[in-house]
Amino acid sequence: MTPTDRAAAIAEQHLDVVWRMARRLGVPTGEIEDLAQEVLVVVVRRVSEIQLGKERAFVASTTVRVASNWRRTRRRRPEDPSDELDGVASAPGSGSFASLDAEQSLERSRKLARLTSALDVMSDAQREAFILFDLEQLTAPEIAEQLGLPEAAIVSRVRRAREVFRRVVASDAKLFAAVQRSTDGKRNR
Amino acid sequence: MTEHDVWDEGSELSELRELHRDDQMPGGMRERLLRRVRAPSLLSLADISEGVSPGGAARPSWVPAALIGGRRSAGGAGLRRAAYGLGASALVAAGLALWISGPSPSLGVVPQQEPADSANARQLGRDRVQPSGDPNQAEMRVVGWFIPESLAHLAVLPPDQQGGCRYVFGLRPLASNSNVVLRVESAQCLLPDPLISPGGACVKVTADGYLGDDGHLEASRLTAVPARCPP
Repeated sequence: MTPTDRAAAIAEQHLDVVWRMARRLGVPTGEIEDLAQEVLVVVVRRVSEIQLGKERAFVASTTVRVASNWRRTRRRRPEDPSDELDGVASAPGSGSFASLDAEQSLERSRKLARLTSALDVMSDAQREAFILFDLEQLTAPEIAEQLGLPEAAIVSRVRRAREVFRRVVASDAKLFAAVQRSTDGKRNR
Repeated sequence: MTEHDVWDEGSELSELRELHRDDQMPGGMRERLLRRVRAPSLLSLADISEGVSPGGAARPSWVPAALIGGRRSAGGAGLRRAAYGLGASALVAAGLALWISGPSPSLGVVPQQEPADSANARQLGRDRVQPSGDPNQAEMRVVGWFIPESLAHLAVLPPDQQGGCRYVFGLRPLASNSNVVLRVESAQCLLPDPLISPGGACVKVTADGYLGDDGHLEASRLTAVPARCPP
C-alpha cells in the first residue's frame, strides 16, 4: 500500500471523527471542510509516522490541534456574518439525521444542544480532554501520547470536565422541571 | 482512570456519546475531501506528498507547499504564514545564488500555440482601468478563461523581487475558438481558490495589470470565479 493509499484509507475511515469533533469543539459548520482539509494535509504529511491501530487517535488529536489553532485565529478575526447560517446548516437534515422523523430529530438536537452547552462552559483544555476521552473513548495513555502531555494531566482534566458536565446537566434538569411546572400550571388554570 | 465505564450505562453521558458518534459528515463534503486525498493533483496535498504543484509542474524543494495550494481558511492562513517563515531563508539563499549567476530564464508553462504578445492581451482586454498616453503603460483589465493545468510557481526569482512569490498561468479569450493564449504573471502569494483547485469547473478570471515587454500581463489584482463552461 502506497502512502497515498494509506492516507486515503485513513481519511475514508475517520472523516466522521473530524466532523463530529470539530462540531463539538465549536467550529462553525461552514468552516469544517477547511479544517478537515488541514487535518488531511497533516495525515498525508505524516502518514509514515502513524502507527498501525492508532490512526483514529492520530486523527482525533490532530483535529484537536487544528481546531485549537482555528480558535486562536478566529479570536483575532471579526465575526463572520455567515456564522448565522450555521444554525440552519447544522440543523437536523443536513447530515446523518436526515432519515429520522421530525420528532426524533428534534429530540436528538435538544440532547446535543445540552451537550454543547456543557462543553461551552468547560475550558479549552477540559473540553478537548472530555471529547477525546468520554465521547471518542480514547484511553488516557493514548491521549497523553498524542497530545504530548503527562497522563496525570489528562486524567485531571477529564475529572474536572466531568464535574462541569454533571453541574450543567443538573442545572438543565432543574430548569426543565421549572418550565414543565410552569407549563402544567398554565394548562390547569 | 483508563476505564470508560465509570459512568453508569444508560446515564446521560452514554446516551449523548451515542448521539455524538452517530453524527456523520454530510455526503457531499466527504466525497469532496476523499476525492482530493485520492487524486492529489486536485489538492495541495500533492505538494507535500509528491512535490508537485496543482498544475503539475515541479515544485522546487525550497518552496513551501502551503504557498501553492489549499483552500483559504483561518488555519490555512496560519499555515501559509508559517510557510513564509520557513521559506524566507531559502528565498534569501536562492536570491544570492541568482545574484551571482545572473537571471535564469523563467519557467514557461503556458502552451505557446501562438506567440504571446500585446495583441493577445488586446483580444482579452475589456477596458483600460487607468488610461494613459502610452497604451502599453495603461493598466489593463483582461477577462478570460483560465487554462486548466497551466498554473505554475516560477522556480526562480530575481534578487530584487519583492514578496517572494511568482506565479504564471494562461488565459484564453471568453468568446472565441482561437488559440490565443495570454500569459499572466502575478507576484501575489495568495491566489484565488478557483485557480488552485478548479475541481473540473471552468474558471473565469479577471486580471488587472500592466503589459510586460514580452507581452505578458503583469497582474496586480486577480479575481477568479467558477463559471459555466463555454459551449
